[in-house]
Amino acid sequence: MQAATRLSINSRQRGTMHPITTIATPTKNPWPVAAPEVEAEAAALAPVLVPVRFVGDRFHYFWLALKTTLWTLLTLGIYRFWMKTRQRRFLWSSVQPGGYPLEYHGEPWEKLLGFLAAVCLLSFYIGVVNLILFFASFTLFEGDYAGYWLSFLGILPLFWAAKYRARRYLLGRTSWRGIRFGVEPGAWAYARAAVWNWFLTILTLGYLWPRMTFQMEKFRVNRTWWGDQRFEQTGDWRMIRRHMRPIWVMTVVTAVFTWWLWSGNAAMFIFRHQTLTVLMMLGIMASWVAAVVIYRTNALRTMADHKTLGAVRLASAARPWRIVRHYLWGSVLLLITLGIVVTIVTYITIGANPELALYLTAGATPDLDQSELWALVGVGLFLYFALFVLFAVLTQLYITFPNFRHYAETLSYSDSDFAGVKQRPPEDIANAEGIADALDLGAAF
Amino acid sequence: MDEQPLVTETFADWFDGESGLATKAAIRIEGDYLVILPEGGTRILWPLAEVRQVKGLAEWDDFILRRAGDSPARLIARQRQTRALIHGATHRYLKKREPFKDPGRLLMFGAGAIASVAVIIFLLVPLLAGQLARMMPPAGEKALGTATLSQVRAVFGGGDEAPLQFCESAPGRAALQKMFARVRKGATLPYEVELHVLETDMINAFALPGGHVVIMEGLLTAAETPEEVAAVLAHELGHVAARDPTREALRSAGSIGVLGLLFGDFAGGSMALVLMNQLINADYSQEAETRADAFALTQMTNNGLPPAALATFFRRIEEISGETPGVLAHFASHPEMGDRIAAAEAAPAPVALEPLLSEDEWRALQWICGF
Repeated sequence: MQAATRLSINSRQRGTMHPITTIATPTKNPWPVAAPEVEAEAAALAPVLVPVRFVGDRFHYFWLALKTTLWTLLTLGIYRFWMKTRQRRFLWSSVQPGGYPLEYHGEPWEKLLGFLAAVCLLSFYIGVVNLILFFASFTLFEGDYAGYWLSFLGILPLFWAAKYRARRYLLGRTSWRGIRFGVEPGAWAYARAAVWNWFLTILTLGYLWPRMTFQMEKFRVNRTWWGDQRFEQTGDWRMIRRHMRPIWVMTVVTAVFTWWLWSGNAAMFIFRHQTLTVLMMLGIMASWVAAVVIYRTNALRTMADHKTLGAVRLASAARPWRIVRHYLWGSVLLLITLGIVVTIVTYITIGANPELALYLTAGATPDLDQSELWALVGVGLFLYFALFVLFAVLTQLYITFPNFRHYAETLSYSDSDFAGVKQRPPEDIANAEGIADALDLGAAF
Repeated sequence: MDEQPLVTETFADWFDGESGLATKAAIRIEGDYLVILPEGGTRILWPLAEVRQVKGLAEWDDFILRRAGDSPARLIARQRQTRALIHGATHRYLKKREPFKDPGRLLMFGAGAIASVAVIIFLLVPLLAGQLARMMPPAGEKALGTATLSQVRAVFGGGDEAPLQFCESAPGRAALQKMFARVRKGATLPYEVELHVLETDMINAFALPGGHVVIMEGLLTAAETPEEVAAVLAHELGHVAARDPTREALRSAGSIGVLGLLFGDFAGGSMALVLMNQLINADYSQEAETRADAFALTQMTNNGLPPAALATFFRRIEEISGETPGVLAHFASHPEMGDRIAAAEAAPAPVALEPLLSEDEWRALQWICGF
């Protein structure tokens, strides 16, 4: 049994009128060892890992996503701050390491405020600078590509800085067991690191891509805290190098395929089997997506296995093919559902007005009066919005949620009573997500 | 004050917000307080009126409580008895929302955002666009025009069809050139004008950056006299003279980005974006259109052509397509037909009228696209 007496330094905490003095409760000790030193040693040698529990129900999440997306549409987008907050509250509280849920306590008003501040800042850049670049590109290069590229490159560091700040906000508003998470400031250092790493990756034609993955993850992780405990990414980038194999395979396959297409050997084949050729190209594109997803999942898993939080070890059992299947089935189901909806609405619309069919198929201008025209416009708008809502919601349902759940469920950590973890003071990050929101850089949730 | 009889001894998990330790705590209601007695610790008193429920949880059975304000301490009540006990005493206060702390700041930033966007879109960008349109070298403008022309041909060609073809019949082109030479006499144009006729039924004509003027075949067929076509041509030359197309392209480049910023990624966003841009476009263009109309009327009068031909043509268009009702007119980039017709009819007729094209030449022009 350990005895500890602590005096609360933070006596500003409301609700307690006395300084806190607690005696730590003995934890359920999984190892039959008595002395603390031996216990610690045993923990280091053979940590017992406890899986993280995930309790969120996909059906309930679907309803939440549907309701909030509809409200967002009705309010021309203003509700999206509430939508994101509610989705995050649901997702965070679904994750229950040791049976205690994570908590998200971001406030929608904060997000709105941050967004407005960002608009003030960015509208100048996007309006005026874009215009100038457009002008310059036609003046100097007689084409618009230079302008677009320069504009894009100019804003890229801002993207990375914004993403870092957004993560800072996200984690700064997350807590577990009452203890806050936190991320150190460093958005511009992050942007610099990203630029440098991308430069190296492109220079080495992708060979140093795993290094970039590792370095950027390490940058983020080593600045992340839970209470007074710091996360650390140990290990080396070489440990994820082997996960690049699917990508190398795809590179070879694509090279061979491209050579085959361009060399003229394929001309006869393509002519005779056009559909097959298109399918092959689609197959290669899908395989590329799968290869990248597999690489990322494997890399995340390996890196998770080497993350520590003070004395806590983490381990991940994430399976890449599971994630790939989510994307695959998600896309298929999405297309089928959208297809069904479009078919139904088109059928109803044309049923009401058969002349439309003539217009759609033969291009003959239909003879419609004003009211019919307005009705048509109405149906068109409705279909457009309905499709969008469905797309957004179904993506959450079939892809975002299952992926999030899989990563959470396959995570394990070495449990303890966490009595030694102390609270960290709240950070002033109220506006931190604003630019990411404005540039629409947020993650899916 | 343990004088009140206890209903039952219930328990919950207590996190004091100082360390990560979870302690089992006994829960009681005493008077106006929720009493939390962590195992081996000192008791905590939460005023009932300040007890709040953490909302939005995935597990609906979870009943997590906090104290109003910023305290990170949490009470997790999983036993049904505990939930019932606490809920019974605090249900009036559980769902109370904290008032937003800084409405002043929100209003300030909201106003700031609206102001900055408005200044950018309605002031800065058009100003800059006008300046830059003047500064743009002809080569650059030609390039912009050529790029836009290919886009126009592709867009109006539609889907699987090939882009719209140019109509090149020699007698037709000759008639067109003759008309052009007559109409443009006396006007200063910033650069060489290139005339194009596109093969399509649509009744339309427009000016693109760099001096490209495009007339759709449908317009030639719909017109009944060459003077009507000349009036439309003069109108488009008015746009060229004022460099409207280039200015508008630059303005769009600036505005669309800012609007995209505001509306974000949802569908209503893209739709609202298009509508907003149309609206801005329209207001801006209506001014430009009125100016182009005035230019056309002057050119017609000065070169011995009847300005009323513009009115006749508009009337015919009105018959064909129907007057756009008020609201839509706001979105259409042309001012209401009625106003334009009135203006055209009010223009002074020239002193001497000379015929523009011979019968043969007019027929050649109308058949410029061949069969």
